This record gives sequence, C-alpha cells and structure tokens, in this order.
Amino acid sequence: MLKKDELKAKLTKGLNLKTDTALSKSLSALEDVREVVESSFQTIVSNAVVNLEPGFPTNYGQQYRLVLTNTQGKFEQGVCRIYVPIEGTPIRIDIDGETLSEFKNMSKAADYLVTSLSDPLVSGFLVGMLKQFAA
Amino acid sequence: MELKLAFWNAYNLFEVGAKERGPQTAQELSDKLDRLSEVAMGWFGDTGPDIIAFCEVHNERLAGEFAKRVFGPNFGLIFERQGFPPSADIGIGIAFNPLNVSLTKLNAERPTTKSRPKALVIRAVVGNQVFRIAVIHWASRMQGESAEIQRVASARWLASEMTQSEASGEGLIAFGDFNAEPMETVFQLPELSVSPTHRPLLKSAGPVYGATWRFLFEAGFAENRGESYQAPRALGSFWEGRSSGLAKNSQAGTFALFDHIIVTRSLLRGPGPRLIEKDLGYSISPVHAEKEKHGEWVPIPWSYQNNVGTGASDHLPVLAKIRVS
Repeated sequence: MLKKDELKAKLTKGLNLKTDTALSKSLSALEDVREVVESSFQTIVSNAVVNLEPGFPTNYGQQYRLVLTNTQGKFEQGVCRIYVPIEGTPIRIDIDGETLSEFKNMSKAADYLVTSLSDPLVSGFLVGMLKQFAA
Repeated sequence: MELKLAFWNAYNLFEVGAKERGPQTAQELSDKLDRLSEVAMGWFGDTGPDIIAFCEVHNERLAGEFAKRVFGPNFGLIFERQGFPPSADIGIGIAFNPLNVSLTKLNAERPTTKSRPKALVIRAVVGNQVFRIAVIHWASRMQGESAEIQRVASARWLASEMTQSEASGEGLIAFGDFNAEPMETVFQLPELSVSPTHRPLLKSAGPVYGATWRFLFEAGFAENRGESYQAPRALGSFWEGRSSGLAKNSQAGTFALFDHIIVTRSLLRGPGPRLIEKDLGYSISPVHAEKEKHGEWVPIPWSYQNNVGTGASDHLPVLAKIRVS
C-alpha cells in the first residue's frame, strides 16, 4: 500500500529549500535582470514588456530568452539568450547570435547586457520599434 | 513549367571601404558584382535562374544591384536586413523574375537584437501552385564550439517551419550556407532528422531529405545515365583558404560541404510542385571553380590583386529545379 501522505510530506520538505543554491541565486538574479530591463524600457515607452522564456537544454546549461514586446503584442524582438548551468555559474550571454560571452556571475553578465543595450544603434532600433507600434 | 532556383553565398559583398575584407574601391565593387552576375546568368544552360537566393550581402542596395544585373531593371527582391556591426552586418535575400514567379515573405529567424538573419522563409506562387523556400545562413564556425549551440537553435527553428509548411499542404525547399556538414549532429536532432539516402523506400519514410547529400553518399544513383551523370558535385562547397587566391597555391586551405539543398516530403511525392532530382548540382565554371589535387571541384574565392579580379566566392552555388504544372 502506497503511503501517500508520508511520501507527500517527504517530497514537500525536499522541495521547500531553506537555503539558496548557486542555481537559485542565479535564477533569482536573472529575474532581477528582466525587471531592470523592463522598467528601463518602460520609462521611455510605457507599454513595454520584457518576458523571460525557456529555451532548450544545452552543454552550457538551460537556455533562456529575454524577449522585448509591448502590451498589445504588436512588436516582438528577442534581446539576448542567456545560458545558466545547473551549478549556477558561469553565466553565458549571446547578444549577436554568433558568440557566447562568459561571466563569473549574473552581476557581471547583466553589466555586459546593459552596456550592449545602451549602444545607440541598438537602443535606437528597439525604442524606435516600440514607439512605432505603441498604439 | 520548370522553375530554376539557385543559392549562393556572395562572399563579403560589402559597400566600398566598409570592411577590410570587402571591396576597397568602386571599381572593385562593380567588378565583383559583374563577376557574380556573369556566373549566375550562365546557370541552367545559359538561361539563368528564375530565383536566386544569397547571403553575406551588406544591405538592400547591394542586393538590388546584384538582382538588377541578373534580372534587369524589373527584378523582384526580398531582403532580410543585416544585423548590427561589427560582426553581424550582413543580410540574406532572394531575388526573382516577377514574370515567372511571385514571392512573399512569411518569416525570418533573428534570435537576438544584434543578430544577423539566420533564415528567411518565403512563399512562392506560380499560377495555382504553391511551395515555400527557406534561405539559410547559419552561425559561422569561426566562433568555435559555442557556434554549435547557435546552429542547434537554428535547426529547431527550421524544423518548426518545415512542420508548419507541410501541415499547410505546402512543400518546403531549404537551401543555403548551413555552416555544417551533412554528417554533423545538428542534422540528426530529433527535430531535424535529415535522411541522406535517395533509395525510394527510405526516402519516403522520412519527412526531410538531404537532396544534395547523395553526391556524397550515393553519387550517381539518382542521376540520368546520360550527360547529367556528370552532374557537378563537390568535395567541398566552401573553401576556407586565406593564404592564396587559388586552392592549388594554398598551403592552408580546408574544404567543407556547407551548402545544401534539403526538401520536405511534399516536394518529393506530393500532388503539387516537385523537386527534379536529376538536375541538382553545384555550379562550376572555370571562372569561379577549379579542380583541386584529387580532381574534385572547389570554389575560387574572389580576390582583387594587381587590378585583376579572380574567382567569385569562397562558396560554390547550389542549383535546383522545381516542376510546377
């Protein structure tokens, strides 16, 4: 006879981690990155939305896609692809579709991402498209 | 009616002075465009293509200059714009003769903001016949191991497009510079498992067929036993050689089969447009290709030395015909 309640209690305890792991810290920081990018775009175009979407597992860890869109869904552009391994670090970011840049932690990766998005060519394109399709 | 299609990597077709590896004078740019179009107009028994797809082109203006030289002033053109400099500012496009076919853009793969396009998907209409074309330029191998991840992502994207196309009852031909050889794992993914065999039973069983791969695996099997038995095939459709303009003088060149034609099952046995397998081939001519030491055709890259342009591209073009009745 399966001891359902006992098994559930055991698994629930196992799932409810009290301490952060390196992976959970990186994933939490990844959500912070999404919030920073979204709120930054929203100061320029109020209906900007940034979503974090799961990609596929790779040798460099799970792929995540940071996707810029707006509330009407009239514009959508992948911003970058981020790879987080099960060990939590290192973090790899793909900005240009060709290269993976490696960083010791999410903080350094985020700084690289923000610098890239601040490039006038890049920001001009993204903000321009958001404004064009804002209504 | 037979529709004549070609793909060619135009090899650093940049505006004058934009890149060290591109043309440095207006004359050199003009000469390179003339060379590309001269070769293109010689395809299919000097009748030229109806559709020519290309990659490694800086911008829409240059794509138009190429198209105009091949099709005249009334060309059709779809260009998927370049990515952001310094590494991604090249686009892919498809030019056509609007008297013979109508093309419209359906989708493009642009995975990140700065990325150049990796694929462009087109709907082709001839009368009441419809099929799709995917023009491919996957991530370069120059980035090493990490580029494999990029190509896997592109393969998954392409597989999804192929599935959608077949579900819509439209066959799809994908051709281009895949930056991957037929035996590589990217073509064995569950999402994009490409069959390399021409043998009818096995070919029919798979959803995706690597049409040009038979030159490697089953050379001659599908060809007419007449003149077309000599259909051009290549040891390598891409030559990475930096030390010389000609392979025979190079001490450091390597060859790879990167340029492919892959089709979905409707183009093999559907009721609509059909690939004409016996006419597949890599384009060769003394102007843009040569035989390397083993007697296999390889490309002569464009170089401009002593005011004389040689070769055309570091890739060989791939040619195909689609029968539309």
